[in-house]
Amino acid sequence: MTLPKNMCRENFEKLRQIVLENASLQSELQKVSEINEFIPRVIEIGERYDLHFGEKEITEAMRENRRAWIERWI
Amino acid sequence: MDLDVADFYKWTPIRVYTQDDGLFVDWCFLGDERFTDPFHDDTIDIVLRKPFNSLFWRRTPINFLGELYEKRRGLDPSGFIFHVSRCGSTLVSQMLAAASPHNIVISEASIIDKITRAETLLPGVADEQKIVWLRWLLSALAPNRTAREKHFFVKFDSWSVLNLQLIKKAFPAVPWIFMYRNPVEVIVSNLRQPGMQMIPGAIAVVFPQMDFIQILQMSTEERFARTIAAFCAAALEHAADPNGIFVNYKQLPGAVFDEITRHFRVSFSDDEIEKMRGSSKFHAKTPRAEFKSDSREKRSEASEAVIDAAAQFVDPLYSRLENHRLGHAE
Repeated sequence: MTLPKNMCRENFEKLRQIVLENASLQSELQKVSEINEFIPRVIEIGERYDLHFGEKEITEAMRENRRAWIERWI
Repeated sequence: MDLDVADFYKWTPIRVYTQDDGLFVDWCFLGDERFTDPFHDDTIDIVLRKPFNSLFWRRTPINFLGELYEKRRGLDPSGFIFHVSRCGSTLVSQMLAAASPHNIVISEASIIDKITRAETLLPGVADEQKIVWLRWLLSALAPNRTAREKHFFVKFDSWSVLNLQLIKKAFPAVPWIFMYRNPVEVIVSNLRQPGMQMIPGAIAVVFPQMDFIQILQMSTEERFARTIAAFCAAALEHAADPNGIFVNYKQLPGAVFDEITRHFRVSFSDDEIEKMRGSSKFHAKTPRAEFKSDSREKRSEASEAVIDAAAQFVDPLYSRLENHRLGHAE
């Protein structure tokens, strides 16, 4: 079953909040230096919490942060 | 969401922005990284390449900086560096950073500039508010994480000297230096690669009385010279302040071990001095290249227009800076 796009993003945001409140999850993810390993790990952690989303939601969120950083002067 | 100061251990503020009429701060995980790159934002750029840091940021209202300030105050600044750009200020900040892993040196952080000129984000914001935010922000940028941190130095953007009065009000006890250089050399360096302060209209405080068209009507040489002149004039307004000294490029690197160290009321061990000497041998902005004074080279590159603009707009101020530095009557 494919989840609607907005639900995937919502799930990802919930997971992001969980990670930011959980020091051991942060520490687990901070150790991953390769993006190809990092993205599946985030998806897998999401699944542990029954929060389903895909690579797209993660790369989109990364791009938004990147854009915010580049546009910090504006 | 409740914010816990403890969660921000090893996180650093990187960006401020407005949202719903309020000011917010983005934070990224810094870990054990130190700000050893020539500029603060270079270090953040590198840190943000790590997958975790590129995805997980914390977002807080700016008032959270105040909570952090109350509950976990950072280091008090040991010294501030102001400058005209291209005058060795990065060499000085890099030497201070190289002296000890326990020195925190924040160089030209965009987030400090944003708060110093917060009216660009929140028009009409009061200076008193900016002063409070500046205190909070600098404290957050220099946490005493290992309890072994020693000194905290801030090198501001070149145009920040135009806000020297405000910064002094925020930190009245902090000694400051203003670095300058032969104006022809500064203009030539900026012609090779213009700093942001030289981009027409990019930094509104540089020509507050002019509109964009008037700025564009000046020749590049005149615009650059008048920009440098504005910085020198702003520093000269504070010449009588015993907390400030003027430092000429030609005094480097020796002044770092002598005048600057003394003025900042800090001391360095023999080992630290050795590390600073080692660092001073390299070009500050491209650390793989060796540092050597390039005054002669820059002057020989100067066109007549550069020499004329420097003479007309900056030379009188340069002479006043020199007279003051050398203790001559003006």
